[in-house]
Amino acid sequence: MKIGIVGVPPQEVLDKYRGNDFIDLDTLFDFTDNTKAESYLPKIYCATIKSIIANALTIKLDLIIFDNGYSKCDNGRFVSEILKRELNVPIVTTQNNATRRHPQTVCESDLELRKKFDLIVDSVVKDVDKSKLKYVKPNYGFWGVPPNDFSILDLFPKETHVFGWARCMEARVPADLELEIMIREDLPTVFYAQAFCSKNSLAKYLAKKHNGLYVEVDDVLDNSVKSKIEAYLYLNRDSDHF
Amino acid sequence: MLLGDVGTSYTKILNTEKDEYRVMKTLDLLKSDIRFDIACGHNAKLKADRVVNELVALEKGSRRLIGNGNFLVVDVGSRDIKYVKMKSSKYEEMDWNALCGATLGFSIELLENHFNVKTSEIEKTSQSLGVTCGVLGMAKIFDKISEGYEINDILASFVKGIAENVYKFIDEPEFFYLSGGLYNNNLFIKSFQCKVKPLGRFVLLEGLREIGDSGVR
Repeated sequence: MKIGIVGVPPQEVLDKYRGNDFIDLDTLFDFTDNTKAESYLPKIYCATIKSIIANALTIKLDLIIFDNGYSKCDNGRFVSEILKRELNVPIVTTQNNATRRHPQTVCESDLELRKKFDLIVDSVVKDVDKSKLKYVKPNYGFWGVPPNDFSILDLFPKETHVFGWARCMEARVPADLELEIMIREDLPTVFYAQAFCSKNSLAKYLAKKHNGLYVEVDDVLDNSVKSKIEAYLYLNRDSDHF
Repeated sequence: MLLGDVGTSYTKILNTEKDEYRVMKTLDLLKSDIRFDIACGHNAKLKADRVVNELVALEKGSRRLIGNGNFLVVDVGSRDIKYVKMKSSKYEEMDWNALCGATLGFSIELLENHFNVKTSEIEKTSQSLGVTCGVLGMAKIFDKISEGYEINDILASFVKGIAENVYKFIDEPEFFYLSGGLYNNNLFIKSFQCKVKPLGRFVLLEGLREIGDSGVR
């Protein structure tokens, strides 16, 4: 079976379907056309949610497992209902309340930041071998969800640790707010949120509180946000972490 | 070295051998064959192989002009506002409003040309035209004209509205240094409710000079 996954469904649900072909619908694939989602969603809307709808409309799926509670985001609940009504595909909705934190080895590894995110996203649906990963002393932090446009991650050096919901993903505790707001004091951190996502409130608040840089990105990374991040990393290069 | 701060409307140029500064319209620059050794700004990559981030140039130029220590410097450009705050010579805060609500110097110049006035010669006002951006602000200006208000009063309140936007964007400080083409616009400076010290128009060029001199990449 080809199964679409949204968010981080509980492990026991995923285990039930182990051996099937999982596809992460939150992903902006080369073929993902977010304008397709505009049949059901406002034009101005969270790009990740648009990708979920666009992918669900494009890929021929046998089942969707949609973690749609507060372990994902508020939009997820509404969007799963739209898909239920509009697609001729069975949908299993879940709320992942797992509290046991798995090690966050990838988040603190010496991999390039994009590679870290690739593995974090992969780890939701498959076992990832972390045995060879090495810890890296961080110079920067990246807080947030996996961005719709991964090119933002290429701006950071590999000495960047991952925080926020992406860290919760690796820890397999997507509803763990305490872990989501955990940051490392005095580590220059970019707080990223997808435009029109309610996580912007946390990103803005935490950035202000910890002298970080808050950035909000819509569909794809634009030059002004790129320049802002480059400047922030440069101006913080002399921090005590070097 | 030939250094260029290639802005949206104007390009500021420094020839370091002659210590000579000049300003030209960016549209004219783009038609010319001038190439810079180091440049910053929206169109810099079209005219230089080595491009420096504008905020980095602003921080380095400010440090060169002000010295180390604490400072908040704000660069108000044609279409953007950016600021850097340093504390004990270390980074404290920055932001860059490059798109929404940022049509600043450009709007003022457009209005000056349209009404044939120099806003820097207009008296300040306590009234503020609540402007979220230059374009929406302009619509309000023409509404006010049709209501019979004096052009100079309207323009002063428009500039006051822009100053208030900048003031809020930089978190309402008690004092800041001003960089950019509006450094000699008295109306703009007096429209702030805090102390403002103009640093001039060539702060980013000083930053590029610092980078060129030190060989920092």
